[in-house]
Order: sequence, then C-alpha cells, then structure tokens
Amino acid sequence: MRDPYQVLGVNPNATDDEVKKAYRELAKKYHPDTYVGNPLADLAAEKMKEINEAYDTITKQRASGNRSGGYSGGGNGYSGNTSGGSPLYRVRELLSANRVTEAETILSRIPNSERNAEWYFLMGHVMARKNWLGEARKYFEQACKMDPYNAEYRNTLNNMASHSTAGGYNTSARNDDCGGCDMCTGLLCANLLCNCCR
Amino acid sequence: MFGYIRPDMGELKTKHVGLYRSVYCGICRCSGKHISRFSRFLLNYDFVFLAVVRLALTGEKYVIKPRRCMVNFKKRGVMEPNEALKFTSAAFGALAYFKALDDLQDEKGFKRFSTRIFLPFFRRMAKKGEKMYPGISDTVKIPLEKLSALEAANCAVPDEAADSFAVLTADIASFGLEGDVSRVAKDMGYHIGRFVYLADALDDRYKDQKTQSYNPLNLAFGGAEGVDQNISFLRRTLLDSGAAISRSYALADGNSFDGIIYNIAGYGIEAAAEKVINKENSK
Repeated sequence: MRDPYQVLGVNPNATDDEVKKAYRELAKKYHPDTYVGNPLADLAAEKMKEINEAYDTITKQRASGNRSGGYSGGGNGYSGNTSGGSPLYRVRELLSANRVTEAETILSRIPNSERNAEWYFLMGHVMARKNWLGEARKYFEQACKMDPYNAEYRNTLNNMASHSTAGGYNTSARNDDCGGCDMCTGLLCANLLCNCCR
Repeated sequence: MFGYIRPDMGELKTKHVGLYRSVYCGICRCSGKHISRFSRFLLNYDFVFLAVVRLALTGEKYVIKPRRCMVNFKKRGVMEPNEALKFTSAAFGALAYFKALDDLQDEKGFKRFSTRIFLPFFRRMAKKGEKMYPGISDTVKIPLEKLSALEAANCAVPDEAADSFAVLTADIASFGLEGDVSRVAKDMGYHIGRFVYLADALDDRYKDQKTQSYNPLNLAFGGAEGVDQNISFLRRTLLDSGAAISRSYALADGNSFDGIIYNIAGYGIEAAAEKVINKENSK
C-alpha cells in the first residue's frame, strides 16, 4: 500500500483537520455516485477504496481507539426496485457485470407498452456505457418525467453534468448515500452532511 | 479536427498559459521537423489538447527552451520534441491525409480542386507518420470509412454518427498506452471526438441545410430550425462531454497539466459550445 499521506496528498505533519479536509475533497471527487454508468466506474471505485484505507490508517495511527471513517462507496452496482425474476432485474445484473450489449438486447425486446420509467433509466445506462451521452440524457430525462420522485433517476441525470471537483466545476447535486453502512460510518457521513450544509 | 477545443485563457493561471503556449509552439515545430513544413499551417487547437492529454497521462519528462520562429521574432518558451509531440504530429499527418481523401469524394468545386492539388503533401505527411508509428494510418482510416458509410446512409442518430469519429480520437489518444492509463486516455479521447463532431455539426447546421449536405443534427431534429428549437438539449449534451473529460482525467491527474486540462474541459468546452450555439444569430 502507498504511503497514506501521499494518497491523501497531505504532509505527515498536517493537522487532523487538514487530513480530514483532504479526505473529504478526494471522497467527493471519486464518489461512486459521480461515476454511475461511467465506463471507468471501476477505476473510481478503486481510488475510493484506496482513499478510505489511507484515511483509516492515518486516523488509526493518530488515535489509540479504532475509528472507521469513509464512504462505503456503492461501487458500480445497481440496486433498483425490480423483483428477482423480471427482465429488468436481469438487465441490472448484466449492467453490473459490464455486459452492455446483452443488456441492450433484452431491453430492446421489451414491447413499448411495457416500457416504464425504469426501462428508460436502464436504457439510459446502456447508452451512457456506450458513451452516447445525448441518447443517455434523453432516456434519463424520460425516466425522471415518468417517475419524478425517484431519487436514483434524478441523481443520475444530475451527475451527468458534474465535473471533477478538482477543476472547480462541481455543479452536481450529489447525494452522499451510504447503503449498508455500519453505524459508525453512518454517523460520520451524517456529520459530513451537516458540515456541508453549514 | 476543427480547433474547437481550446482553453479559456482568461481563467488560466499565468504558469499554465506559458506551459500551454510551449506545447502549442512545440507541436508546430515538431511537426515541421518530423512530418512536413506544410503541416505547420494546418495544425489546430484540438491536436494541442491531444498532445497535452498524452503528456499528462504518460508523465513524460519535457524540456522547454526559449526559441524564435517565423511568426514570433521574440524568443518564447517552446517545448522540445518528445514522444507526445512526435506522436500527435504523426496522428495529425494521418488524419489530414485520410480527411483529404474523404473530401475528394464529398466536396465539389474549389475545395475539391485545392484538395487534389495538395494531396501529394498530405500523402507524404501520412507516410512519415506511419513510418514513425506503424499502425497509426489504420487507426485513422478504419473509423473514417465507417463514418463515411454512416453519412452515406444518412444516419439520423447524432450519437451514432459521432461515435465513429469519437472512436478515432479515442484510439489516437490511447495509441501505444497500456493498462488504466490507456482506458482513461481512450475515454478522454472519445469525448474530445464526440464534442468536436457534434460542435462541428451544430456550427454547420445552416450551411449544410443550404447546400443540402449531410448533417446528423439537421436530420435528427428536422432541419436547422428544429436544431435551434432543441438548442438547450444540445447545449447540455455538449457540456456532458466536457464533464466526462473532466471526470475521466480525475482518475489520473496530479501533474503540471491539471490546470490546463480542467480549464479546457470546463470553461473551454463551454465557450466553444456557446460559440457554435450562438451562430444562429448570424445565419
């Protein structure tokens, strides 16, 4: 493992606040939400893991007690709300396994009358994986139109236009969502969220 | 390529302005020395960005020396020829030749005549490029042939038409690279090509309508007026490519070119998009 201070880009003499600040900035930059549907999502997930490990190592080194910080990072998975046997569930599985062509074939076979908001959302993902961003945006917008209260669809659409925070173009309305976190991580994320809202 | 991708100089730090200019002058000198003096008159900003991306991703060491040239009598910092500059010059040579061949088939009148006159120069540029980087000609030729076929078939899905050109720039950007860096370069190259192709189609919407030339946006939206009615969607999808470049580069950043690349992916792309969008006023 690389030097954790090098990973976070801080000096070993940096204060706890400086370490925390560097960690937060990097966590925002590589957060899995920003890379949903992106062909490089797996690289972003690796970076996120490295950052979390570096932060954990530093905090453990500095405090005598255990402290497990960091976003859990949902990776490139698709949670969704479809049931196990449905074709859309299968499409989500295929997308998680990066089998985009097969996912597109299954989606194309679904008749127009059965195409719900989730169909448009998943088709948007297929297009985003192919880097056809215009088509992806059309499908995501249609999914949001059909199901305006779905946070997953809305976040994905918003994140399409979000730049890396390193460039100062962070226009996304990101939702730091932690699925399956332990209590400690959940509390830390809540704390981060509160700090962001100040 | 058409010179759409350039930084917003006003937003660039002074040190980055100097670095960017050194790449700009460096690629001009390098292509003059290694490809053809003729190529120096044709180079554009898109290739400077490609060179910057290659320099950033490969982490290649570079040397900048003060030099004069025929248009700048005052000495200014120029990047000495290196792998990234040589490769970009070679790729430009190949693209210029195959684009000229394509123009010979598609264009009429003076443009076709002038292309025919200069074709031997283009051929020489491509030959030199191929000699320096074997395989570069095929990298350019195959996607351009696919693009010509799509254009001949009047493809009305802009993303599908843009895909062929984007694959070309993706393959150029990632040529000879391996591993994660290659994937990042490919993704960045893809969105550079996608943006350039769609921005060019948007830029030419009235001209193409007048001359009844192929334009994927005119076909998709029912003419140049239809394109204007959907301009907010097109603005968003162009800026999405800038955002995608920025996100991809974030996975490999951390060098002296960060400021330039993030500036271009953000302000530069936005300014280029606005320029082609506002062309409706001067139809």
